[in-house]
Amino acid sequence: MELMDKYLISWIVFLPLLGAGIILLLDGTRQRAIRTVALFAMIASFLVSIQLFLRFDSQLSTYQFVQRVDWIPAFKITYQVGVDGISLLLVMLTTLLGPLVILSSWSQVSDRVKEYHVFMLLMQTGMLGAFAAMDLFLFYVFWELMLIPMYFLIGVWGGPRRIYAAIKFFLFTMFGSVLMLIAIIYLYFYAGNDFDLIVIMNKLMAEPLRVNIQLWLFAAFALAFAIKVPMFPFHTWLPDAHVEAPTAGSVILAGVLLKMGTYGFIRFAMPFFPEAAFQAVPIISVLALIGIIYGALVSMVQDDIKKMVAYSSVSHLGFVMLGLFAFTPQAVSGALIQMVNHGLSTGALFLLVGIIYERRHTRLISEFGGVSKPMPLFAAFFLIVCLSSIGLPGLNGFIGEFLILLGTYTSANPHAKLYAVLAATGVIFAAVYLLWMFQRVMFGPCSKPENQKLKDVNAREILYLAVLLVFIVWIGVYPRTFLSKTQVSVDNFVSFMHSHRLPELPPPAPAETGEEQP
Amino acid sequence: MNLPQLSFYDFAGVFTPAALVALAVAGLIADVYLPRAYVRWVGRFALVGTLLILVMQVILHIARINWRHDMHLGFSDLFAFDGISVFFNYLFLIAAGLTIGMSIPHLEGKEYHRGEYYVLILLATAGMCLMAGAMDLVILFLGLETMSIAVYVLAGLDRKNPKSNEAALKYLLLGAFATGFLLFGMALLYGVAGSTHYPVLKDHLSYIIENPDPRRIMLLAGLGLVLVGFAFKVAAAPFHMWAPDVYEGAPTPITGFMATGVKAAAFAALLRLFLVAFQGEWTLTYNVLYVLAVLTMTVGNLVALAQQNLKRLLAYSSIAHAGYLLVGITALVASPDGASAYTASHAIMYYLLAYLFMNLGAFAVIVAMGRDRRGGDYLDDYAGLSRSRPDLAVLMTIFLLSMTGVPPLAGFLGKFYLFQAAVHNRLYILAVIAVLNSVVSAYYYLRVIVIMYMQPEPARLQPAMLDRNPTLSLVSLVAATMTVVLGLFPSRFLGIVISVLQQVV
Repeated sequence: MELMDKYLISWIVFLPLLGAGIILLLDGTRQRAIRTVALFAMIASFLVSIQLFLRFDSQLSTYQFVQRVDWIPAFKITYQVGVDGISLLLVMLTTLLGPLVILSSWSQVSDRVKEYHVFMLLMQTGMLGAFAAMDLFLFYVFWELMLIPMYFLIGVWGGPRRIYAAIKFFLFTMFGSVLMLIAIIYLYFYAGNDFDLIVIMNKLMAEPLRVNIQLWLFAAFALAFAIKVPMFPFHTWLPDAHVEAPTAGSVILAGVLLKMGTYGFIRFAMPFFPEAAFQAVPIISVLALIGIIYGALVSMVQDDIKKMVAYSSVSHLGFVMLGLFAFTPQAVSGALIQMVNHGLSTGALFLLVGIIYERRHTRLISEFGGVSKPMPLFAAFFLIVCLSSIGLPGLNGFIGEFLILLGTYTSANPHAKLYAVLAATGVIFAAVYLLWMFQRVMFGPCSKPENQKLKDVNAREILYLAVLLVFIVWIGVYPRTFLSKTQVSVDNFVSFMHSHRLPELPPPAPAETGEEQP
Repeated sequence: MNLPQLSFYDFAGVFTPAALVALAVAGLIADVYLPRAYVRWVGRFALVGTLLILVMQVILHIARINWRHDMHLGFSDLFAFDGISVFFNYLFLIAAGLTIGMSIPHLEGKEYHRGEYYVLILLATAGMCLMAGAMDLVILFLGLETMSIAVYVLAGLDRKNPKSNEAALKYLLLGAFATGFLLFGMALLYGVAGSTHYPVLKDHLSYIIENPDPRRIMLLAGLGLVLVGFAFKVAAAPFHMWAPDVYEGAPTPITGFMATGVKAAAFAALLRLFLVAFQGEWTLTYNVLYVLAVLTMTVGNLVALAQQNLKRLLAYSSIAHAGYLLVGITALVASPDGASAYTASHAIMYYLLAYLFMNLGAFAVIVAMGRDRRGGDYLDDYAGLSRSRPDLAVLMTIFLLSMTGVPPLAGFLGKFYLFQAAVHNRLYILAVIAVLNSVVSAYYYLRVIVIMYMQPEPARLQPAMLDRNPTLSLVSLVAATMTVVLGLFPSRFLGIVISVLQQVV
């Protein structure tokens, strides 16, 4: 058991990679075998992660199940992984979505099946590794590693403008992350040539950086993460990538990849540079609010369902960002749970859109109408997921949004009450665009002959939708299961942030570029 | 007459270049007696010989003979047998081996398949080894010219091809100019110091820098001219104009050899010059190198965006990589102490090693493509390659992603190392410019991947008729394996790079 503990996270991270290795050895024409291997690798990773969840001690705010191996001793780079309450839920979300996306592409992807599944599994390893990494170099490696499979998933299996979308996705993300790399290297030297997250944190706690340096480094980290979230005005890659990506790609992108950005904020950018984070509250909050409202308004006018869901992500992630930067335990907990919610609800929405696209080869709202008659079960799933995304009490979205709004309202930040009020309008807008879309697609006369012949969801589709639905209801009815795991870590984070502001603010001088020139 | 005693180190130091010259002479003789149809045996002979020399070099390295703790100078201190020269000897031998390996299949059936081709590669390699070991401007010049003249000829060997002619002529004329600058610069330095020996130069130069001295102008002019000469050799902007034409016209393996071997030799020489001769903080050199690095990276990457010919694209990309390396040299010059100078030198050496494999690998794929009558010079030739030859497409993707700097490949760690050296010496802006440049470069590398994976094979063409040549497969596999291994498990190689530099200065 001791041994199992030590390697638990490594198993979760590398089981998908193992699956990819096995698939590489298989002949490309044995599609069924390839899909099965991919599915089993994902399920195995999920099962191990359940162990992780059950054995995780929710009373500790420290990292658990830490494994540390030297990797490149010359730079003191280690392979070091572990989870705390913040990353635990995201790891779980990732492992949960893994098997579901493989199931969803069972019949949707028939071209280059082998490569497709290799990239899917590689992607999974990259995402899990990034969530579990406790070494900044390792984190960066996993962070960039995710780019390549996603680039291929969009570019090879995507829609008509896939090449444009794939390159845009790659360049946007890389632009942000290379600047973060420079900031990481700066921290490496600051911490006495060490990439270890804990060592860097201790150093930063013992000797906080000067404000202007904090601001520069925070900006470098924040840019990388803001592009990934994506926050307004860095969101323009997202609709392209989502619309062009294959269904599974969209699910992964919305479900997990975007969380990478918000996770980056709470794990690195904010605790590393507390003073800068507090100073950035007005900018981040306003951008988050613009994201919430702008994303919702743009969603409203979309005629393509997938594009609508894509823009709704901008809106939902705006809530998460607002919550993180409220610095109250409720808001941060809400933001964390909202990350998971968004992964579940938006993931489910993309899966549903994928199901109907596979049948009709169109996603235009105007092409549908009255679909609930031929596909009653589908309509029921769709309705519940829409309501969860809107934030209906009893479903998961409500918990997250409520906690975020509550936490923001009670926050000590200037204008926090105004932010909360404005953000609340986003909830209303969400109801507008989702229900309006639902009405146009599902109700009314089923006039188009193609729509009348639509087949309802089959057993495989019911399976993966039902799994998501279980969690949607579970979090909505009894969020304690999940909140309790994060509570200690979140409290710790919030009190840390408040206690590590710089004691005395220097007079507001124009930011000098004190790190320039040798 | 009092002849200096020759010691073991004299011979150990020049073992590699001497063995290469001997091999070249043997190849030349063999070529005379072998019938024309057996010319590829000269190539095989050269390949096996190079590998044997590599093995002997490893044995010398392992025997080590204390070189780890000391810097051994041979031949009246003209030539160093130390970590840097050992490291670069490895690098040049590997470059030569891979180049010869891909040349044999490339030249098969071509009119210009002659024994001299291999002989010239060996001679150029010998010149490179001399450059890496030189502790004296005269030896440096000797090595440089041995290398350059051999490469001039190699670039123009494809006599019937007007592009190859143009390449050779351009390279020769511009190269001669650059050599002139370099030589004049060396003459001025000699005038200042009264010696061409690096340690003597160092003493004089630091005296001149610290005290007001009328020789200062002469020194700076000399230094500037030497820099111009090297900037030409590494194709640094604004002295890069020759590179795209020459790279396009030269036989493909030679292009790869020029981009990796020749460039590495020039950087080896620069490294030693700045580590030994031009020590200390040099504001002027520093500014010049800074500008040179920024210009080279930016020009290389921006112009590469518009290329339709893969060899030209890689030429511009190689200019950009020279720019990244110049970031390392700038960091080296900006180093306040020995430790940071080491970091910068390690970074440069590691990067050159990584670049060697990823770049020669990419050229090996071009050679493999060129064996089909479709050719492999133009980007369009690669459309749909992932279906017709998935293995080549995967290899090319690995090399291109590594050049982009995507972890966990060698190119990423190399860039990381270089930029880390820059940040270490507080060159933040330079590091930011460099990373932004790699984002720009991502666009054109990705474009090749897009063409291979996301565009259909043009219908009018026959499906690719590529045969699988075992030598070529081996070369590209070795390159790909090293590209991955150097990125994922670099400790061993980093250990070598670091240990060789321990006591250089």
